[in-house]
Amino acid sequence: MIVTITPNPAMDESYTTDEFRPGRWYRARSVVRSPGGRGVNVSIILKQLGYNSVSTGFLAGHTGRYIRDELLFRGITTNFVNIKGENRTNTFIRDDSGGIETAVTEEGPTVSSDARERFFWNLERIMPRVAAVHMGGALPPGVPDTFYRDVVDIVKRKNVPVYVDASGAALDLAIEALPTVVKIDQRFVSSIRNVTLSTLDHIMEIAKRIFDEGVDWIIASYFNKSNVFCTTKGFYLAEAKLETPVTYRAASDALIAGMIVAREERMGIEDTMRFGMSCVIQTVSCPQKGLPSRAAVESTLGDVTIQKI
Amino acid sequence: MVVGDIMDRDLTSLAEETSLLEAISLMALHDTSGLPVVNTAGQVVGFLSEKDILRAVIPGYLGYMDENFTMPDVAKIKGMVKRVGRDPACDYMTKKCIAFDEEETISNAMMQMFRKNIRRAPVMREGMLVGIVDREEILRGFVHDNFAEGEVEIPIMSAK
Repeated sequence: MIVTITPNPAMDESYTTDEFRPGRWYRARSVVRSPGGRGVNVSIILKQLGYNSVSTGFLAGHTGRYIRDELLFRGITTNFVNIKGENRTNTFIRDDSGGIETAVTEEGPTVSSDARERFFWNLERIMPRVAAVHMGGALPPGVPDTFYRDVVDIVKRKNVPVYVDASGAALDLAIEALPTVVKIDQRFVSSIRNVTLSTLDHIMEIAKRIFDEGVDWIIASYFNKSNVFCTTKGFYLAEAKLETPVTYRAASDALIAGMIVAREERMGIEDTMRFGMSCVIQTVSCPQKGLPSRAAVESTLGDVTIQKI
Repeated sequence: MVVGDIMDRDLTSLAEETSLLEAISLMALHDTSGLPVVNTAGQVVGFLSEKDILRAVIPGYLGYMDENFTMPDVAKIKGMVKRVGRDPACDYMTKKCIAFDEEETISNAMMQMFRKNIRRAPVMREGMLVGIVDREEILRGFVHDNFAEGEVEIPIMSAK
């Protein structure tokens, strides 16, 4: 089984307005609600690609119940730790006239040490049956920056591939434990280990350093359409042809979900990148959470250009 | 339709050594009346329900509860909660609990649950916990299976 970990899940509320400027009142033309958070998104996209996963993390309050029920409706297995408080709501406002999106996110509920202990107990218990683990997103109050590193340690002991998509100190510490795949999202990570990720050279420099430490794959977003891949076969720049992007919100999650599927199906390095990037194309063009189908992903494999750099 | 089609795919469970107090707290947080007990390998070894906990806390009283003249000794019950609260779940769980394979038919599951008067049961695949099913879901699945589309609207919570 594939396990996804979302320490700070959310309900994503996406409003579309004809225009949006701060300080004014608007009536939304449409509202789309969906369960969210990095791992939750990966679980949803994996399901759309035909793969079951177990979604884990911390749930709280009415929002937590909404997230769990939505995952249940989608046939996704859950193993969350329920805690007191209320999960966050992330609000997105898409302004159709300018084609830009504004986001406001919350901090999330406080996770107690008992809840963290229970989470690790759950994880240890299901580890014998696990084929891959993905974790990502912001950490809620009460969860220390060492959380992802501790999870990587547990997963690596069982020789199971582990994917990390995080930012800040939590990402730095997780890298120390040498996960299999590290995703660096430039929207949230402006620098890593004191190297500013402003140019392609800087991205390649830091990716090479992390690779030399023992991480198999490092993926860094490069503008909206591209990702830099650092692999055992060298560096690649993969670019997606995006015709009518609706939202980039779950793009990173689509890429990781695609890579997990590619690994499960033992695809080669180039096919893995192509499949992952095609998942991105489909997800950024889809108004609903995730992508339409696996067939849709396969139809846009040719819209990905990959060059060795 | 089989149990696997309608079950709640949730893996929340108790360890054999989980204390009764912790079990009560988990049941409250997860808004449930009972949880499966699993061993370190993830195999279902029993089920702890509210009734099992009541039986542990007020063993002598449970049989008298239906009688109008029963006056519970609250002080004694409080003392019992303190006494058994630290005991492990495996001491009070139902060991030979009803559990279904995910391929079990809904009608068979329904018959067994009503015959044994149980509300929730673990669902397993090769002995490992894969979900939980309760009477409400079973009933929904049964109606869904036996009425024509449009005759009655029954949303099915989970899909395979």
